Amino acid sequence: MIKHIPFIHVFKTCGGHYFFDVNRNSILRISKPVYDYLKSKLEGLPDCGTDLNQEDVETLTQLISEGFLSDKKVSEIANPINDYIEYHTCNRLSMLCLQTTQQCNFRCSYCLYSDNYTNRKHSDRKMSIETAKKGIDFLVNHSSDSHRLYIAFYGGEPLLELDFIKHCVEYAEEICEGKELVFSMTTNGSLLNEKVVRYLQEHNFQIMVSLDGPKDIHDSNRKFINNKGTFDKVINNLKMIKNKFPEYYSGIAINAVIDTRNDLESINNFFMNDDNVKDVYLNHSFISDFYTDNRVTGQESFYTFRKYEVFKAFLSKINRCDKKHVSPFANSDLFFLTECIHKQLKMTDNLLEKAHPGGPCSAVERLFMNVDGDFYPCERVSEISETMRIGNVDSGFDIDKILKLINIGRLTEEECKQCWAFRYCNLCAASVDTLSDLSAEKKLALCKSVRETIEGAFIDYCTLKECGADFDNGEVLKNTTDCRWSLYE
Amino acid sequence: MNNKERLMIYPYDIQSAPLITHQSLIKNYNITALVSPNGWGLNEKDAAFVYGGRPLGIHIQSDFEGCLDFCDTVLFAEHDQATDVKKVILPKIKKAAKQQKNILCSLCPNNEIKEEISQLCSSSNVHFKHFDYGKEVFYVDKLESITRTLCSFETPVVFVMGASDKTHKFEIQLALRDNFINMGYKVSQIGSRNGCEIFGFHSFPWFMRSTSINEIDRIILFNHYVKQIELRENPDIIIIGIPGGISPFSNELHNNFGVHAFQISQAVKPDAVIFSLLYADFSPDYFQSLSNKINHKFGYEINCFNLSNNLFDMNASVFEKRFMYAKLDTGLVDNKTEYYRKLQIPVYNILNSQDSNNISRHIFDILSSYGNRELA
Repeated sequence: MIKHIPFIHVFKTCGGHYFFDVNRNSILRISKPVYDYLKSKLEGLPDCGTDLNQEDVETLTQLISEGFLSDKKVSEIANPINDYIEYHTCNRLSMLCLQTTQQCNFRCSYCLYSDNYTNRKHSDRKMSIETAKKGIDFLVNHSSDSHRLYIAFYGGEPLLELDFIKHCVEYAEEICEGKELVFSMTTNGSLLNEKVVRYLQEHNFQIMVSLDGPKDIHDSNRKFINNKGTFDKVINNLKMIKNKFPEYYSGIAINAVIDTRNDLESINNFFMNDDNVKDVYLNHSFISDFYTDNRVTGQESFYTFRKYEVFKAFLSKINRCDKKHVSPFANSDLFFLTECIHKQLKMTDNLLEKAHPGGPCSAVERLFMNVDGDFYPCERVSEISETMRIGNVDSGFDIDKILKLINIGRLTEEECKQCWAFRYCNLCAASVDTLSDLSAEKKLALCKSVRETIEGAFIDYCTLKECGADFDNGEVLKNTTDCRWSLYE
Repeated sequence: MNNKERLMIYPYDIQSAPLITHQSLIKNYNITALVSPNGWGLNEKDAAFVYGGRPLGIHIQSDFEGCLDFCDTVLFAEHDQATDVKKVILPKIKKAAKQQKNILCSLCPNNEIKEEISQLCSSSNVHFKHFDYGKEVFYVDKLESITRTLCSFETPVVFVMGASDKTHKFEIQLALRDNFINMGYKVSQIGSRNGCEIFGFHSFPWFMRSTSINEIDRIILFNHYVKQIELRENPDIIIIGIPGGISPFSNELHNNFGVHAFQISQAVKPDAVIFSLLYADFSPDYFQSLSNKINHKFGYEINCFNLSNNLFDMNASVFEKRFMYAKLDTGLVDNKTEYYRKLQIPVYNILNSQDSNNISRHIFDILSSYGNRELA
């Protein structure tokens, strides 16, 4: 039948058998015998295919004639933008994130500045206005082909340096004439008084306030320097914004850092029901695994609850659960299926000769600048990592370092070439940074979990499609009364 | 004696770059300043930076007021950057008019803003010209006054079309004009954009963009429009630039479905066609295959290709919900065109001055070869 080993991955759902064709970047539904045959082929079993009937053989022949089941692999791991990196670095910068200060009035246990991380430490160091101005000039001079400029203020707690922020805003508004300019800030919310909020509103700041959940959970991690909880202060400020700046309030976002050792159900109930936060856009992330040996292992009940909420979100996708019951912590899974699977599954003729696994961000469109004017690809990477320091506001970009960060596939070139999840890999340089270099060993250790995530997403995606989910329009395509799952009928 | 007015172009970017590369075609103006808003990141950069060409030795500035002193007229030009006309452009127009500078405008402000500019210029006693997609010189007054039959043409017609915008189609149109005029031919021309009158030819006509005229009438009108140009101007060659592309790139980026290319191709049959591509790593047989596809879709083959230095950036385009390109050094294109040099359908790089002449020469040879055979 097929002489070669096709570059595919087979998987099944409760309702069907599938293969993902890496070259064609497509998922195809197949019969069980064809699935069994392809699976045996991938496992290198001898004499596979003897059970195939005429129809199955014709299916395989047809697929091959249409360019599926090829064994082609990329011949060189290289990021497509390598050849025009100069262009990107000179013209396509769009966001500058300024490390306003390394100081904070909070001492959160999971903070990247805390003792749990090798990233950085809290200190009194803050950015000078001269450095900030040079950074803003750099942004303007390297963004001629970007249509919008973003300037973000990051800390520590940026609002500790309100005068500095005002200087930067005034300068940026003057020199960025002709382009849409967006300011943003991630704040712990404790310093948001009326005067500050009025200023932020006047200058169209997008703000993200950190709030982890109800008082007991929030206060367990997020404390003032004097060890007192910060919840009351933050929630009162949010209440004030809601009452006095209702229009501005509707545009703010909350970021919840989720500690998997906490009770997700009570966090979920808080964000779904509390009058001060239930209508606010909620972003959530988990405690960072980068640059720490203190890996957080959560409770089983946390994962059980989360899986159930994701299940409800999936049911809502096929009109089997009212959206009002869907947890904001589960929507991200649907978002992932839509944006990272559905929209990326665009049929191609073949893998290119030169390609790079998905994962590394561009490292040039957004830039984090620390108090010293050193450049990093984002605020989450380590400031003490030489590998991550990709330039300086005075000396400009270090192109060689950028190329290294956006070509991490070269660390594990042979493994990447053979990996069926090549196109959907999400490993970025920060996840393999050892502070002194990028580690192939560290990268390989993460491959299994990447493949499991992608396979799980393929299975969820195909299951939802079997039940009639339409990822283009968000509507259910067909009658789903025969679907075996149902909730809240 | 030089009676030309001194012209400032504002806001200068890739859209207005052909004005500087083909200054010789502009009869009434000397370009003395290229000014862009500071936020565009072009201050003190060479004028060629905006399209990735070889340096011209002319620098872009951001001091609008300072440059006003050294010009008689300001052209407020169409531009690629999304800019708030009311907030950024209008105050500059007012400033220029108050300082007694004539105003040319190829932007398309709404009627309210246009009226405001007009009144301001009138009260400041300065000249205001708005290029409005050739509305002033439309030879066909009424659809009802023309027959529904399509006219044929005695004059050779050249199409300049492309895969999308940003393929240097306008640069090709100007190079053809320049070279054919220098060869002693009389050229009539319809450009693929607005504001072509400054070069002495017709802008893409307004009715092709009108939503109140149906597709069939647009095709008939365009045919008669070109016929009127042929009759009134008695040219040796007609060059038509086709805006946009020929087909969608994706579900999100539909490239206007190549509607203009289709309608113009129904209205006029070309004698020679230049097709400009975005930069990519094309296999040599791609060009013939594309020519065949265009033949099936529009009814004519491609006589030569141009490879632009703009690389389509799908990820950025989907994110920005507009076409985004990476602008490459034109030397990379030269390497490619060298590789394609021996193909049956030649591939050129319009940003290379030698190729700019070669394209015109190739089209000239194609058209001349038709002279050897004649229909009875």
